[in-house]
Amino acid sequence: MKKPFRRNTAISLSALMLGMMLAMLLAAPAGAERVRGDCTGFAEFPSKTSDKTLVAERSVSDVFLVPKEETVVYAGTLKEGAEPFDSPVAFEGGVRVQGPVSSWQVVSWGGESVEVSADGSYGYSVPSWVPAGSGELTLTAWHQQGEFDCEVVVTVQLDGDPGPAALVAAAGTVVFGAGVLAAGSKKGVT
Amino acid sequence: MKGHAILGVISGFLFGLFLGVTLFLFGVIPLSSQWLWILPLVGILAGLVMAAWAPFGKSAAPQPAAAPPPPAAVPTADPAPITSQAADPAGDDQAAHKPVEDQPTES
Repeated sequence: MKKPFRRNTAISLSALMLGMMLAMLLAAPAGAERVRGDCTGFAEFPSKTSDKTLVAERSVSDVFLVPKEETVVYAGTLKEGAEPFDSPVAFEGGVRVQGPVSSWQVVSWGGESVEVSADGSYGYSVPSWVPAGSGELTLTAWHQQGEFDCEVVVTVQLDGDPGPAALVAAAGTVVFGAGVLAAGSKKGVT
Repeated sequence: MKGHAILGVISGFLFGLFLGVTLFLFGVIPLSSQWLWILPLVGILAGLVMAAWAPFGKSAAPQPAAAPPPPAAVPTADPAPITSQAADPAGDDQAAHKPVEDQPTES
């Protein structure tokens, strides 16, 4: 192997690694958990053996493991000590998953109520094709009702093992990486 | 472009895509990371750079610029048989310069 090739490869790889490290440092999550409003709330995951309760004040950097299937017990208020409305007021809200480019609304609710607090249970099941144990998911829960506007951001991770999906992805990376190297072979050489 | 540009673009895109998914599945980057769309673009760029650089394989042998002119023909010696002057001192040397007749050859 020629010296200039080794030097150029080493410089390129070093630059790539430095760039990735810098980007990861810059992309570290901020400390904001309840980004808007004065609401409070929690969600309890009964099937978990430890760290069962996710509260609105939880730090974004503190990852919460969630099962792929669960019936969550929840409760929340628009503001601590707030009085009920005199007449029904329209409300809407939901939960969004933040993606690399945009976000997807996975749960939504709406209606009219005089209440300023709510509780109950909610069952969910993540589709089987979604790999568990993968990277972190940033969830944003929001609720608007009258003058109250609240938004909470939490970081969760699906509990489990990524399984064969991770191996398939790794194999694809190797195969197409070889394709990139093959693109560097000179034309017309037999 | 010395290498294979189309192969580089396609392979680079898929390499970046799979690399991003792999990093996510192994928990290295979150789903909200910008790297998930940056990596395929970086892969395309890497494929194009590899195709332009083409560090692998030997260069094709260069074609000769022009064939050198053939060397000038050197006149060959007369293939006449050497005769002994001593044997025929009289000097009838016509036989010596008489062309050799073709001998019949076996076919």
